Amino acid sequence: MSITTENNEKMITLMSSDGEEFVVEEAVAAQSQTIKHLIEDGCSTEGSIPLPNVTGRVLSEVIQYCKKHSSSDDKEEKELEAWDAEFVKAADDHVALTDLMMAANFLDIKGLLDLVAQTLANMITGKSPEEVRRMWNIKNDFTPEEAEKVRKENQWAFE
Amino acid sequence: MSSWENQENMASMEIKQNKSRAPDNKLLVDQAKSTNTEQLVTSTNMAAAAAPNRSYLVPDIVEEILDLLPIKSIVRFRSVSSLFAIKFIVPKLLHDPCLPNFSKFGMKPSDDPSLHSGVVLSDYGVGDVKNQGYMAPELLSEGPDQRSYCFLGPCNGLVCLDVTNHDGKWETFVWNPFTGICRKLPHRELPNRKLPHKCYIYAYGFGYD
Repeated sequence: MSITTENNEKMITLMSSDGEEFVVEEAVAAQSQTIKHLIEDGCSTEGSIPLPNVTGRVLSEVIQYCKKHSSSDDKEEKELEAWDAEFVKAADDHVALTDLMMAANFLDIKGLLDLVAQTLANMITGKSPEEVRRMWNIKNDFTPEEAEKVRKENQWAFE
Repeated sequence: MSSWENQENMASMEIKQNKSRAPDNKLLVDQAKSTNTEQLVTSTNMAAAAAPNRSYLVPDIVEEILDLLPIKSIVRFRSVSSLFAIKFIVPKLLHDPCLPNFSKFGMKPSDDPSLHSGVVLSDYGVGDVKNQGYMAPELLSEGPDQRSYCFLGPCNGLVCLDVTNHDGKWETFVWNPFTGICRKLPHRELPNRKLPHKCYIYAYGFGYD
């Protein structure tokens, strides 16, 4: 559905996986390369753009980021950095950050992807493999033989 | 779940017994050979990633995060699961000197014309290098030094390094950043490149036996 506002800005409707609708300016939505291509291909002219991989909660955070980054120019770089730092701080824990990163990956928003990846990288740098497994519910899928081989090969990194 | 933990405990006990043994030469080669099978294992993991309502990871995401970590963390996390046991992060990074991630190896573009064009390890003290896990123990055990490290090239996950001592003599090493194993190659009789007003071009190559 495309609506035009008073100042002639084209609006785009995005629909999350749980059916929540978000009406945003085209310039905001186009921060996502995925959505930008959909708009270019004419997918936004009828109804809303469905985003089956992104929940409403995550999408609202993503839109927050896109709004901020579409309205700021290069001169405000310092302020934007501070805003980014607050933004990832508000996301709170690694589960929320991972959801955000999955969405940024699917929607192809490079700035957001890099920002969240760096935050998660900082979180896990000093952790042990066991801690990383616990964080993301990762199953250790090595056989005992493989596990021993990998551990032996990489022993120096544990010292 | 509990059977996994048991297996893990067994594995770590066995590792403790093996810990004192010196790493053998074979590891260096095995690492380079086993690449294809490991990559297959990683891709099968993608199918398991689609569980809703819980935190899940796909290879793309894992790679993005690993890319930002210091090499020591990348190597340590190879034990997490097959999804994390990536093989080729080193050559990928080393092929493009413009990547900012390059700094994780302590490497920077060489501005010394007497060295080969390419990249050298920056002026870390050897102790610093060791603490950050950049350099192999064997290379470090040769004493404190002002040596310069020249990166010659990566191949199958191994990195070839040239090390110049302060007396102008140099040695060539093959380094596996994942295992931390470093092997000195036999000495080559080549003209001293520090001679003034002379220009030499060296070519390096390796072949399989």
